Amino acid sequence: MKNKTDERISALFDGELSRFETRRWTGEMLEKEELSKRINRYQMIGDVLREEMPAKINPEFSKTVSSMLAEVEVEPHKRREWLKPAGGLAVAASVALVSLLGLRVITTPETDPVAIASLSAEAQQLRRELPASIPEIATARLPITTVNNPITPVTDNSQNRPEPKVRQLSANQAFLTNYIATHSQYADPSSMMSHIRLVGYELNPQQ
Amino acid sequence: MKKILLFLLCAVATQTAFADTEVVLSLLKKMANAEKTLNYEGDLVYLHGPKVETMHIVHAVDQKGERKRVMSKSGDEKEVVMDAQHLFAVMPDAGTILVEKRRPGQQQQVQFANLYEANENYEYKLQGKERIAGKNCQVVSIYPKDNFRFGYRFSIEEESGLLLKALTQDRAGQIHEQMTYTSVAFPQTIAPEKFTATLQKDEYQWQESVNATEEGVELPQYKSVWRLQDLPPGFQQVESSQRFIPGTPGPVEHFVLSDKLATLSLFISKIEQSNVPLEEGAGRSGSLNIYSVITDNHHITVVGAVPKNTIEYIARSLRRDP
Repeated sequence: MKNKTDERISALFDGELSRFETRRWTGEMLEKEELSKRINRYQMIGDVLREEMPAKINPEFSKTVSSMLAEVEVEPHKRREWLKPAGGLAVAASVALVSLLGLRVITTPETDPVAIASLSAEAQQLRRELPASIPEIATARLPITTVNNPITPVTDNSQNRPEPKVRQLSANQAFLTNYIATHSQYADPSSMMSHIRLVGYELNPQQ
Repeated sequence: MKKILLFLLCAVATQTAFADTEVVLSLLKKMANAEKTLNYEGDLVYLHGPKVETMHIVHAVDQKGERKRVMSKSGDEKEVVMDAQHLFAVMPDAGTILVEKRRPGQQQQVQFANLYEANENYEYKLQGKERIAGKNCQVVSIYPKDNFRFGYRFSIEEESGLLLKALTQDRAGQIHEQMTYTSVAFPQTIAPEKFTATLQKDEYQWQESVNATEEGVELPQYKSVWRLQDLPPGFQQVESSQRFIPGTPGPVEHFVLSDKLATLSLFISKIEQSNVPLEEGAGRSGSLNIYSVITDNHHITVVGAVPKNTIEYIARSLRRDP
């Protein structure tokens, strides 16, 4: 589903869709709003699995990712008994990966390339240690918060987390939308694009 | 012989680059003019980060002046309506309708971008042609010469000059936003009801943003103590004013900066006057980057479609006179 959608988006922007296909696809988009929600959702999960986490992230981000991973159902016949130990290890490792990426990035000054490089190296090392079946297992419904893991689950330690130096602005800051609206009066360099940005405005973590 | 050939090659390359720049500047001027003077209506797809949205846009110029409406057709319901006097931004997720009063006689937007001269911070290139929404377009690229600004790739309709496809990317090639029309028409007249906001609801809170400087609102003994120094290369302050912006009680100082193509806003709000907790941090939306920091009891926010390092650089360039 995701691949087809990505291909269509890519084809649309590459001018490879006929007018008929463009109309049909945008019509589908309007009818199925779930499509764009799925893109968002899969993108976020994909970013974590591909280690493309932003330099500065919302402290709630790890929690969100954990809950998203936990939400995804797996068909019962795929859960074989022999996978259980590996599954436990994989989930522990995935929690550790999310913890590392989530917690360390938050507490790492973004201006420190050495720290970021070391974080990336740690993440890659951890990824090497994951079982090959991690992508399948990581999407299984497993109780992440009850995993017996020496690393504290990400959902439990948010209160003890030190305040990050630069953090993600929360979207509910009313003044931000108003600042964006005020700024949209200034064309750069297309006036049309400034207004499209205002309508599409949605605060995301900075990359 | 080799030297002569090399010289000739260099001369041809220079001449080609110069010719490209001239043609691109001419197309950019046509684009800016088309956006303000034509009647047009269409659907477009806007891709920013992981989010894909479809929008409808309608623009007309008649005896009532310039009017525009941009509304989302997927995702969160949002719309922006503009006429000669006001900008209305309907934001259902915040439950607000923001009203910005326009300057008398001013066109919808202030254009600090100088599209008449080659900008030394960018390189202009012609990139051939393509068809967008059934229209023939000339593709132009504007490459940034450093990492303080984004580059653009515009597909401009040959006949009308309307921008039908836009892409914003950084020097590393990472794309931050894309927009493409899926259908477009240029009607002679556009019915007035097409410019009526449909998302207005009684429960929405109306908030008005006022430019105190332009409205002549007297502020008690106000004198700015802020100045910008050591700005990123090519950027300069082009405007300053005081505003009353909803969400920030008390006047907000508003500086506008530009490199003659990209434009940024810097807002300064005194914390003592605010009952609202103002945050520090960073965020982005498509190519827009936002950075807020608290300095000397003031909340500083920089917003602009430029890389995040530029936003942070400018926030750090702000100095307070003793």
